[in-house]
Amino acid sequence: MNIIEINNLVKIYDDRKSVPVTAINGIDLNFKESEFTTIVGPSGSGKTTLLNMLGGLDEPTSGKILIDGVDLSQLKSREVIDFRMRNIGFVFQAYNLIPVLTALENVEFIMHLQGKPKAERLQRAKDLLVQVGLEDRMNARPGKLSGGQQQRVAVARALASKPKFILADEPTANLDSKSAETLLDIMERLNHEEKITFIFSTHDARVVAKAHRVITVEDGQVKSDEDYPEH
Amino acid sequence: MEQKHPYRYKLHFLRLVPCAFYLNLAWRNIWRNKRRSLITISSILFAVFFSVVMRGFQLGSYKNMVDNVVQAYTGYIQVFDRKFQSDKIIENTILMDDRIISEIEKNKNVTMALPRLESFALASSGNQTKGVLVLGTDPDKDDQLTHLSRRLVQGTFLHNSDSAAIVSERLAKYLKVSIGDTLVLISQGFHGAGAAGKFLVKGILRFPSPDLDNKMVYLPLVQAQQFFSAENRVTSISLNLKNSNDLSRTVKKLQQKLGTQYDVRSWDTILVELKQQIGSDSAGGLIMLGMLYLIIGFGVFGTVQMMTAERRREFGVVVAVGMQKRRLGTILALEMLIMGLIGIAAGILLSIPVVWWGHVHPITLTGKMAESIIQYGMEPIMPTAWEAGYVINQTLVAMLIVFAAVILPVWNVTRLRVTKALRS
Repeated sequence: MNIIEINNLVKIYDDRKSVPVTAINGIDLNFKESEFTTIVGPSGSGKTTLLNMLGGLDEPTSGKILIDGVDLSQLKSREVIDFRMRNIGFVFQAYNLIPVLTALENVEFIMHLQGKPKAERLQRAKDLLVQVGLEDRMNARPGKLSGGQQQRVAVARALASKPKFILADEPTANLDSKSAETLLDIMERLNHEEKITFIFSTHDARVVAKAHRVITVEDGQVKSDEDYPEH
Repeated sequence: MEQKHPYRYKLHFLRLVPCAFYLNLAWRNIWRNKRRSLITISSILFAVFFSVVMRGFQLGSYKNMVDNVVQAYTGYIQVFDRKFQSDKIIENTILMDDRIISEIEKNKNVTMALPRLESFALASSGNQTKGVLVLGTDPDKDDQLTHLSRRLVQGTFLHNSDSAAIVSERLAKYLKVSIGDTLVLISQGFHGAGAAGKFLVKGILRFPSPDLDNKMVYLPLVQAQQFFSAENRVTSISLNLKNSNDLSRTVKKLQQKLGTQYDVRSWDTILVELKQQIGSDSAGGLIMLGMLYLIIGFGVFGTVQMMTAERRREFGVVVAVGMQKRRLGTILALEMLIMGLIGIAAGILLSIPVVWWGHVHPITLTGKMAESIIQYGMEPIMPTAWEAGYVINQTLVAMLIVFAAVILPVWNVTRLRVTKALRS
């Protein structure tokens, strides 16, 4: 079953000061539940723009994105934020944890926004941190964690709201190879065991090697879309 | 697949109200850059401290001026005959009866009612003559109101039973009279009756104000009434008050009680020049305070701008993961509010002992400044005002500055573009 449907998506950046730039030029794509997909392509190909629009962070110039049947362009700004909170998890290249909160509190953060009761929040945040192998670093603030550990907290945070899918923009770009491997193993395990959908935008061959589906984007269009079920 | 049901979440207002978690988050954000937060808090602290102390000294000085003038002569309130202010003749005086004094004394804020009869006369001694102000009063009561006996430099103070006068020092010098000499007074009395009398000089008073020192002659009230053929008549009744801050309400109540036949006036409508002088000086002080607040306000605004600019990416992240922009704005406002409250509370805590000390131990002025103040009949001291009003006002102004400083950053947060913020 498709959880994301993209129909004739176009994104043109036009600040009226310089020449308009077409970042996405008529993309049609579908994503199913439990996919482990990477979007690859050279810099400026439109990967991040596509990911931003999938996450409701940016609005398309034309075309539609339906997530679980919901057309994001029909929602008000506040409703899009609320929709993101309940349905989409984000893992950013630069971890982007809240520096004044501990690992546990960072994971709890979204559940706070969702208004979950304290006991439930704490239990789930602890479980998630155990799943990403950070049971002994729960009370450490991001400044006291390594890059790999921070990114694992970010994954736990993305999972906390029980999203329909997780968007990961270059999640391994700032990590050493060992940390990157560990992180990918965790995400792959979550995909296998908990059927969590991951959509990556990446340059990293290690991520591509683990993906079940690789979409290549060039000049704002889908160049190829291949499945690798044997992964 | 086309959507079948429009997606709508209910966004309850209460979910925007910060709970303990958001307060905690705001608190931690404040201390993520201790030095900057301490500088911001200190700016607010010093703004409140200096404004309270400056305003305290300013208002204290005004109160001292008013007390000096009011206690030297007018009292806080005076009651006249309705026609007296437009035509200050002895015919437009109050005929004293028991009702008027009892009505006045019923007012709980009045501690004393002092009837006076005053008019001009020609004073003569030997070959010297001079126009003088004759003030008939109850010497004992007047002393309680104006501490007149403290101005005595020669002789003894008057009593009600005396048939004598006390005169101001410069006048005595001009007329060449001393204790035991006779002073001749000539004037026009009630309804054009001739007024002439001889009075023994019993004492000599020194007034710091040259104007008063050149013209004052005090007589017991009954003597003055007889002199002006104005038995039982007074030009004014001066009132002293328990609480001078309750002046206008007391004036209003007394006017209602006494009726339209009488004119009840507060000191500031009698001493209009003093009131104007205080008003213009106070405006200057307020401009100074305004400048102080402006400087501090820009400092706080700059810090808040910096604080938000460097966290732009973080704002982008929290909105991306699902925090409403208004809630984020609330947290930001909370951070500023907490810093503002700490700064204001600390400023008040530091300023109150200084204000109290200044109130109990006023600064005594010396030198030429003191001399010029004494010339105007005032004590050369600078006390602070010990009252809550101006402290509350300065607190509110500081709070307003904090709110003003946070408006733009909060507005920017509510208009945040997440993709742009994430790239910053």
